[in-house]
Amino acid sequence: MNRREFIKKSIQAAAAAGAYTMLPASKLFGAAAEGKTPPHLVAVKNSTPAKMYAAALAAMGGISQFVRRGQTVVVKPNIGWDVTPELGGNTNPQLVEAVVKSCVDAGAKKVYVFDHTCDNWKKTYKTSGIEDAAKKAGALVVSAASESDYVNVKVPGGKTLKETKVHKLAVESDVFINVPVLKNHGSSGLTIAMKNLMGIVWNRWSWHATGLHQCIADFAAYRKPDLNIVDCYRVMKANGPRGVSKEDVVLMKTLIMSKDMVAADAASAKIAGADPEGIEYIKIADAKGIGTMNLDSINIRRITL
Amino acid sequence: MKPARIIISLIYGALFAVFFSGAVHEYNALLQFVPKSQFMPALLKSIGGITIASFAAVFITVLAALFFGRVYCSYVCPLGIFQDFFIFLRYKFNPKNKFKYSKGYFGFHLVILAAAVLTYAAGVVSVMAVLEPYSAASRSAASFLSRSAVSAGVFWYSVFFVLFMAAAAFFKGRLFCNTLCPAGAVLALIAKKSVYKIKIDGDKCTHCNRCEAACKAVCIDHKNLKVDFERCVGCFNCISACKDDAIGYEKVSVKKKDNTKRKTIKKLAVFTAAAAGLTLFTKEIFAFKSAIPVKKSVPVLPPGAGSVHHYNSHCTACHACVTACPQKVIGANMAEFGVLKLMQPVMNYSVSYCLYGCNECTKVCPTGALEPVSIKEKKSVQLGRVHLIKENCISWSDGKPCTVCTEHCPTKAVYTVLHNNVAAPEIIPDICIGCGACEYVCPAVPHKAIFVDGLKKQVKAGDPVKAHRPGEWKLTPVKNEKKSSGGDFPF
Ligand code: SF4
Ligand code: SF4
Ligand code: SF4
Repeated sequence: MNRREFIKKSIQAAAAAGAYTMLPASKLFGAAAEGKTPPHLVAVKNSTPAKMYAAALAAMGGISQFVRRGQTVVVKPNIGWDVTPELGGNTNPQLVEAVVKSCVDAGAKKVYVFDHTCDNWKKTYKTSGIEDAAKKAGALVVSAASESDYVNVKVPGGKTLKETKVHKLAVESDVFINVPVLKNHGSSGLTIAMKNLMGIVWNRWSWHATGLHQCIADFAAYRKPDLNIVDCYRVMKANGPRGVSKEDVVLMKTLIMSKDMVAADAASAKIAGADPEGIEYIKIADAKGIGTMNLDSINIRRITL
Repeated sequence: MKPARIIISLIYGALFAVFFSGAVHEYNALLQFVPKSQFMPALLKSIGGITIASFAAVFITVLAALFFGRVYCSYVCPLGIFQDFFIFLRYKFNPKNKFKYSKGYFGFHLVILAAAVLTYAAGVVSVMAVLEPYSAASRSAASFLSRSAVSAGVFWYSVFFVLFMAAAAFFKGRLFCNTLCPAGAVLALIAKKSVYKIKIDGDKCTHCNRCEAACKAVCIDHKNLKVDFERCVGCFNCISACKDDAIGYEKVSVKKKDNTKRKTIKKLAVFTAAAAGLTLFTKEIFAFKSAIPVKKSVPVLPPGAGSVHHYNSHCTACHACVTACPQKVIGANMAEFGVLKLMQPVMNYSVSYCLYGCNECTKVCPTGALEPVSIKEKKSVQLGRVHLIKENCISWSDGKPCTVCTEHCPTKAVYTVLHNNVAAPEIIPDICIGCGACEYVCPAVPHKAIFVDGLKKQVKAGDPVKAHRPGEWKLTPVKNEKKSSGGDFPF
């Protein structure tokens, strides 16, 4: 058992004991190895998506912390809408490219990129620039538009969402890297890391009808991504999730990285100028112990490039 | 000439199949050529305003007909190519079963043409839509090949039509082309005057009957050395069949005065009057119904349609747009517009919605029923207007923050407000473009809570950027910002 696995197991044990929310991972295990322990969350500012990603990754201890030789990886950007990168409706293609490239460099056997899109997937893949960028970096860009690619899974501890259909690549791959974009969202307030997981789910629209916030928080317990990289380069501040025009978008040149989706969402919300307390699903997920929204309690690395 | 015809028509047939398979995502110039090269749609389009493509298609077809007769029917017409396949099977499976000369029904053919033209002029495209060969062929192809949103009615009609055409071709050759096809009738009139005609050289002819037996248009009378050239579809089967080099094109001397011409004109006038009477009569019957719509709504038309009037009087239901639409939102019902507008496509928002950044359908329409619209223009064309029934809405009446409609709306004509602290939709119909995304995604059952009603005339939608959205839900701003890193991060 290497250290990473040890920490992971211990966190699970701690969570099971109900102690997790009170004592975040960094406090439990970080003290002894102060300085060497990867931070709970990294925030980077003022550069290109690729450079900010490189800086954040370095602070986290490098890609080898997440991807090992021969593993299969799913990189899950947000490719929901048929809009160009300037509108900030999808994850920045340069970031996707950098993430895929790092996985390939780490010796990943296969790197898959897909999203269960809202608009026509062929169009969104192309218009977003993600298909080209990811392919260029060596990813297999696959469709998530047919139901036969999804398998039924149970959602542990789900209150509203007890089971759902998840894309089989997301179920089977060794590593799952979540690469959401931060933007305004007319239904959930903001879409960030947890909400991005709706893109690996088939019957995503039924969440709207049964209770969106609860479903998002419920599903977050299904499989926590091995890493979350939030694209806050261009941030859509209004009229989300699709955006109406460039006027909705603010250039923020920021990137958030964390293994903790709740922390990543809380920090990103603040980047967008919104109080995480005002976003229902973040609060529910925090209460469920998926992660922590209390940013004062965690070890944050702030980097300005 | 016959091998050339076969090769060209095979290539053309393949392009046609590719086009209507719906497998292609964006139609390049080569594929757009398929519908645009068609005679009747191009002719109809030219009436509304000539474009380069429509002019070229009409010009080339007419020019070819003026010189060599109805070669169009063998080279370009997809329905002709389709029939030829079954005629080929007939030769293959029953070589003894030869074609025999028959007198033809030119008068009847002209009545059909007159009926099609007059109904068309009166704003009723149905006769044209049912008989116009390209539209009939492509609609059938679209119904079978492209997984497009056709209603059961259209599907079964297409099944019937294809079986009927296959059987007719197998047993009767190009009977359709010479009795029912309006394009064929126009070309027949031109062929009567063409410079070169198929002629039998009486000196060389040995009366072997091979040419007559090979003629699927049954227009060769070998006994009397006669060829009814207006019915010849330019397939050159006869030329290949003749072993004695006795049949082929010959330049026609123009000096002979033809008194049958006057008869034909007279006949034509009578038939035209009869057809006009018939048209008015049928219009009278149906107009009563269609003048007072019983439905509350107008069907939503595809972008570029302009108005119901323009659309209805141009669309021949060829379903090129149905096939081209990547969203498969353009569907065809049997009689959405009433019996007089059979099978004209409309937007079917229970199947899909129109993509904001797409204008594919407007690029392929060969009749001008859908006029070209740039993507920029398209983003503000109002196809219809949104209506919200709060009583049906999950957010308003069930207290669950659904708002999936606001999520999909590209102009935020549907936006989010808070109702009892729950996110709920509110609408501004002025800036709605009628894309139907909201209607399509609305999960309310059995009746949608949000829907788009069509417009008699497509107009320009208001500017979504300048729009004021009263009571719009805004996020709680971040409080106690910690600027622990020199103000770079709010935490
Ligand atoms: S513009 Fe709309 S209707 Fe036309 S092809 Fe595109 S999605 Fe289909
Ligand atoms: S209100 Fe509905 S139809 Fe109108 S633009 Fe928005 S989504 Fe499209
Ligand atoms: S999608 Fe339908 S049910 Fe849901 S909020 Fe909109 S109108 Fe209401």
